[in-house]
Amino acid sequence: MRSVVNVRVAKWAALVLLVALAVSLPLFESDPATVNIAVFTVMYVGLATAWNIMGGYTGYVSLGHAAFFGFGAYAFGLVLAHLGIQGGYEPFVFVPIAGALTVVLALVIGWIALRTRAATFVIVTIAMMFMVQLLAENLTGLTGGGSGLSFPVPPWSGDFFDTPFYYAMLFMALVSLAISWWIRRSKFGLGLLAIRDDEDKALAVGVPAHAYKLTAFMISAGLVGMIGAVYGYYVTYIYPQYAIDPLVGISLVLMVFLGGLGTLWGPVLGAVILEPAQLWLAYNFGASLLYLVFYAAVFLLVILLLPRGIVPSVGDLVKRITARRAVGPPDTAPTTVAGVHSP
Amino acid sequence: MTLILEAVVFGILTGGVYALMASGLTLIFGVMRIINVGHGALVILGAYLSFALLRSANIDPFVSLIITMPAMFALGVVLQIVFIRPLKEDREALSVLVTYAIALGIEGLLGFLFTDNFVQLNAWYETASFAVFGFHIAYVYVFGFGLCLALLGVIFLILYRTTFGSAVRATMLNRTAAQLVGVNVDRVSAIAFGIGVATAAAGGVVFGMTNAFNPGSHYDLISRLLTIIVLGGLGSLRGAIIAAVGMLIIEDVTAVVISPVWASFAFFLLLVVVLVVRPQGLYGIRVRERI
Amino acid sequence: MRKPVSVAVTGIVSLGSLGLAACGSSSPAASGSPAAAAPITIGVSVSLTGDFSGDGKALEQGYDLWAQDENAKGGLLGHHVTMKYVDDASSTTQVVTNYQNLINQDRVALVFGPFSSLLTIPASTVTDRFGYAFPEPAGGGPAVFARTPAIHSLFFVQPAPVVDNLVSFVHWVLSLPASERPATAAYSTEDDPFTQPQVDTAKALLEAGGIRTLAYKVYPAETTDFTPLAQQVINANADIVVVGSQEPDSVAFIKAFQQQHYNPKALVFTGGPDQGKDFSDKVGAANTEGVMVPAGWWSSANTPDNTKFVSEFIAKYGGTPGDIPSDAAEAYSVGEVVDQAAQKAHSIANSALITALHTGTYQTVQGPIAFDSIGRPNGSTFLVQWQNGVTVPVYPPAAAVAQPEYPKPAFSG
Repeated sequence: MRSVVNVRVAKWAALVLLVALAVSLPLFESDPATVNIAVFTVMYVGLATAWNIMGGYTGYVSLGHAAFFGFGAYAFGLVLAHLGIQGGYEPFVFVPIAGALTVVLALVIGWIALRTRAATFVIVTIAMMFMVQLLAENLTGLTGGGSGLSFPVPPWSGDFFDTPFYYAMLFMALVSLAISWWIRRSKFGLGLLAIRDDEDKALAVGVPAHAYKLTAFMISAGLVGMIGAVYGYYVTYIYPQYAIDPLVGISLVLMVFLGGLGTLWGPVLGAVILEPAQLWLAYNFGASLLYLVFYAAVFLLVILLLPRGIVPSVGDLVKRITARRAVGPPDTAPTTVAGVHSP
Repeated sequence: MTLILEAVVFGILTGGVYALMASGLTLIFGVMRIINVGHGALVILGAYLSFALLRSANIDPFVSLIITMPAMFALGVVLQIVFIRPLKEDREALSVLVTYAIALGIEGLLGFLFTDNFVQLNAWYETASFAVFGFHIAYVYVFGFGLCLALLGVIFLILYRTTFGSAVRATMLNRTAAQLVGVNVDRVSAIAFGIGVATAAAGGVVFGMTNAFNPGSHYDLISRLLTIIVLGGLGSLRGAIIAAVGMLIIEDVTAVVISPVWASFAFFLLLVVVLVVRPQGLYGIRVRERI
Repeated sequence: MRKPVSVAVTGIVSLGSLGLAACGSSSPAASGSPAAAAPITIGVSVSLTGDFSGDGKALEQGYDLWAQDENAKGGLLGHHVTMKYVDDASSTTQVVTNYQNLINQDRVALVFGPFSSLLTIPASTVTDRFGYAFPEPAGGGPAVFARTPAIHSLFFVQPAPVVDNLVSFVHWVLSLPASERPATAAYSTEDDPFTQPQVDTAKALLEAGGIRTLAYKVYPAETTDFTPLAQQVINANADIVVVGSQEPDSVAFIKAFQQQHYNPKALVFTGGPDQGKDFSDKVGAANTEGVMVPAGWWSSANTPDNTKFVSEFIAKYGGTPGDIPSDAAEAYSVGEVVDQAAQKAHSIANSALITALHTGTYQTVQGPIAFDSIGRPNGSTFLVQWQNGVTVPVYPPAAAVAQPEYPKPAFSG
């Protein structure tokens, strides 16, 4: 019994330490370029975690989440423009509005897309993403079309500029993680996992599958939309082909798979590994055009060696080691539904 | 009125090209239940292979197919054996990532070999055209359409008139049952993938003759191909062909009647509309399935 | 048993490509006599992969040539120049990261701009807050100058803001005697911030001058099959055609016009025919005859140092004067402008350069350029036409080397 309590205390301590480190990063890192990379990394932590709420827990893989990312950015930029908000701290207050608008979009898209299953759903989300991109491009009166949309620029100095954005992204990532954690422990989460395992059986035992799926989709989209809003404000200028970019959508899915689909910390790990690596690789090797090949090869290696992702594979390894050491029945930590491992 | 007629004719001609490319994609899905997100990249690879043959040995793009199709068939078989067969669990989701990685790898390699400049497959007859109904149709489009019809015909023949084809169809219907009656499912999958990739080579030639392309062109292409096969019903060859032609006609007519910027939107909107009414697509079957 | 094979294959591929990449990315040693003061590095984010990569390489060529020339005469105010290029894959996230890294980690002395308004805008916001001057060769769309608050460290090194590129063409058309002047026009343009503003300006001015618009079509920048779009222009059957394009579309339009035996009296593209040999190879030399394009630079212009630039470019990269892409000349001009500003300010500090660049006129291979308070150039571009396999300026008369060919000869075949 004591060993279990110790493990839990250790886990909480590690969590607190990690958060403390993350929060204090800008204080001991004076180089804005590093903070810049941290901003994008933490952004992907939030994105991957939010996506996992839908893709990991319900099993519905959406490859069109970039639509919500870009939509959130556009919604935010337009709200700021219409209300005449200047650059500074004030805009951050309006980020939830962008989130709310994105949730409405998710309701519309989800209601149609969730009528389909599995592979069809994946492709429909891709189609929906392109539709959103095309709308951004063609409704030039509203979005500026191909000429893009500018955000108000905060008057902060070069050395300080990235810091508020880092905290904003960190906040969003922590909120996403908190929501993801809460869902796993709730009845709602149990229903989602049941849907992932076998939707028809879940329906048969009374899980309100359609409502649950749609809710998960909307939560996931809302978080992604808010992160997109902060992103747009950070880079100060967005245009349709890049704000709604299929590569962003695929990258965050990749991060979740790398880290461990359906786990709590898998997406975090995936993001923390892949995003800085990608930025670094592009900076140092982009010119040779072969970094794409390298990236693809590494990606394939991981999928072949660790098909379930890092967290579950490492978790299994640890279990095997501790089980060998323990006397008596193997590990007693309860699992709620098959496939879900505690972080 | 001629404008709309023109758009319809044009839609049919280009629809044929997309039908050929989509047929390979839907075949692969049907047999292996994987979404080959790298299919667009394979089409572009086929186009570049023909481009290289054209540039170095001055071989006509259509003639180059004699070389590129078998080569791409072999490549397809190898890809399937090395990268796809090892995926045992969580097949459909992982296959998206694996095939995407393949697509990225191909894109990077092509970018390295050919640079990112836009190119097009040229033929000495490419500006020749004939007049009909008050407008001109370039011969290139007609040859391409003819090639697509011929290849689609060959695929149908293989599927419905050969033992191998029966094995393929059996695997598409029920993989386990097919194994039980003695079908070597692994071999069938590898060959089917090879066929799919070979059709991509042919599609690449026709696509490359009528469109400017560069290594990054596969994104746009795969999104359209995926939309087409979903509309037609995943795994249905007939559906893919009808969907391809239908969508291209709608797209071209929209470009003429409304504006070119809304043409692609109409393309995707059609999918959404159909799915609201019929979530399994035109010829798809509603199955109890999970990803 | 399959898995180990797959793993081995991907392992070899990853190591192989990383090795190749590492070998390939070593920067070429900068040549030139050692300078008296400390050597400096100038950082640029260039699109070497992705949508803008063709232009990215031309920019690199221009910058490299400038650095070579600069070092040959002792460096920038005595500082030996090394260019550092990083790839932004034509992506916003990467271009922001690149300039952050160049400024804060590589600590470059100066920066030059990337390709396209779309990347120039976010990049310049980053460089501005670190006080760096941002002379750039290729971001001149209206959005670049419409920032609030205004950015004063950006300088667009071309003779005119992009939106005015077709003004020379318009003036020429309206200057034709009434008997020859076209009555109708058809417009087709990409919906991108480089091409569409130019075409819209031209359309407004031509309409004001009495030329009726028979067709106006905007198409997505990602279009790859231009035949239907060309068809719509052909069906309009206007006297002249104005196309807002980049190179692939210009080539496709000409081919489609050829296929359909359509020959407008005048044909102008905003981009494409300015790509020299690459363009004429693709459409066929005979078909270039009479095609017009606005240009800020041409190979035989009588502008400062242009002859030297052209001969050195050919010596370094091969080809003929007609092959030189204007992007390279624009990049070269960026360097020239910085050199002259540094001479004027007796310093290479960014703040000094910014102040210096806001006053005076700078002599470049594109001609004289002066910047207003937000970095807009105050000149105008010329109208250039393909005649006998080379491009020559034909309007305005002061700059013209040949008479404009009108009507345009029919396409061959």
